[in-house]
Amino acid sequence: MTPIRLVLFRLFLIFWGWIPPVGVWLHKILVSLFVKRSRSPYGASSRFYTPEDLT
Amino acid sequence: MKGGVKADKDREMDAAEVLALEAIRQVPRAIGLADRDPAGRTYGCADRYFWHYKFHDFPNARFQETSELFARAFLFRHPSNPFAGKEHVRDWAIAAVRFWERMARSDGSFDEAYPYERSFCATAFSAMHAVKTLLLLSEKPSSNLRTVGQWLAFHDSPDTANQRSASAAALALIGVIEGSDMFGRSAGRRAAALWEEQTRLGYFNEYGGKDIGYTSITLSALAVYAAASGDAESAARIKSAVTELSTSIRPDGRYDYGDQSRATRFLYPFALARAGDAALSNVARGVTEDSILKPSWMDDRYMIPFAVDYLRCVGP
Repeated sequence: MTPIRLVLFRLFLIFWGWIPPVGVWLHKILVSLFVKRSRSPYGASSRFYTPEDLT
Repeated sequence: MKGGVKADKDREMDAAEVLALEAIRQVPRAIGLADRDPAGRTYGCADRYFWHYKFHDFPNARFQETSELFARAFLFRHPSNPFAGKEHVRDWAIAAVRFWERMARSDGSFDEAYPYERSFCATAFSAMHAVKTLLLLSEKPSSNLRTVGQWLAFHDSPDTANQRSASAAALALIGVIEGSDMFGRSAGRRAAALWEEQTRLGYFNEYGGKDIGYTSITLSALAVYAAASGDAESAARIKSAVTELSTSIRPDGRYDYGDQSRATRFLYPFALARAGDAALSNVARGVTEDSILKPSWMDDRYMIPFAVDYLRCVGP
């Protein structure tokens, strides 16, 4: 593949979302490092009070 | 349906009525969360931490689910509901939807926890409530909801049945309001995938396990989907799933809180009401006797959709 065709092919893949642009990857990395909730969504609705907590 | 719950010394209220009035008691709190200044830039925003306290730098889309709470409070005719028929309440419901519409990212997704989150959960649930609000109040969207529908159709959350079911409901409702069969078909495929997984596993998957609380949310959202789409097969399967769920609900409305995959203690009752299941009375009894987790005991974020589900029990 010629260099120009390689560039066009990569642009095609980026357009269809198969290779995310660098900015999206950087966002994902920053989120996983700094946004704690992104790592622990499972128990978000737990630990509300019910009378069982008094026993 | 009669529930045998004495919540009033003069007459016996039915179970759905008890739950609806519990939800109505949360409406003042929800109204306080919302910016009600029509001249304000954030008119309709229900994330008080954003528009009023400015503790948060961007609004959480899930707070806009107050739209359906206000709409149902406006529509629910009952002597003990001071919000019924009040035009301001209707205006606030619409304002919440309009602010939600403005919150949409260009790809149709919404954020909850951080900017450009593209949260499947927030998009599915907030869309379900906002579009239902428009339909309840016979209002048209002011933005292109097809973008939201397309985003939901092309994304999924395979680990969480409750979010998938909300997306099916949202897609079906968007299909209704936009007059598009495409979204209805997407909703049907999403629901079919859910039922296939539930049949294969024997439960609705929540992060690799079974959770009664989230199963009740899943069934409620599937009931919204079935009503919007006319999917009779789903309606029948919901009834079977409700029958099985109700065997876990004790007479005081509680269930075994241990061993739930997401450690929940709540129960969304709408699917029980829709199926005409007698266990609804147990839930109403638990609310009256303060033995179960109810909307007033939850934080702002979780109170809103929980109260909406209680109000759904009295329709429409």
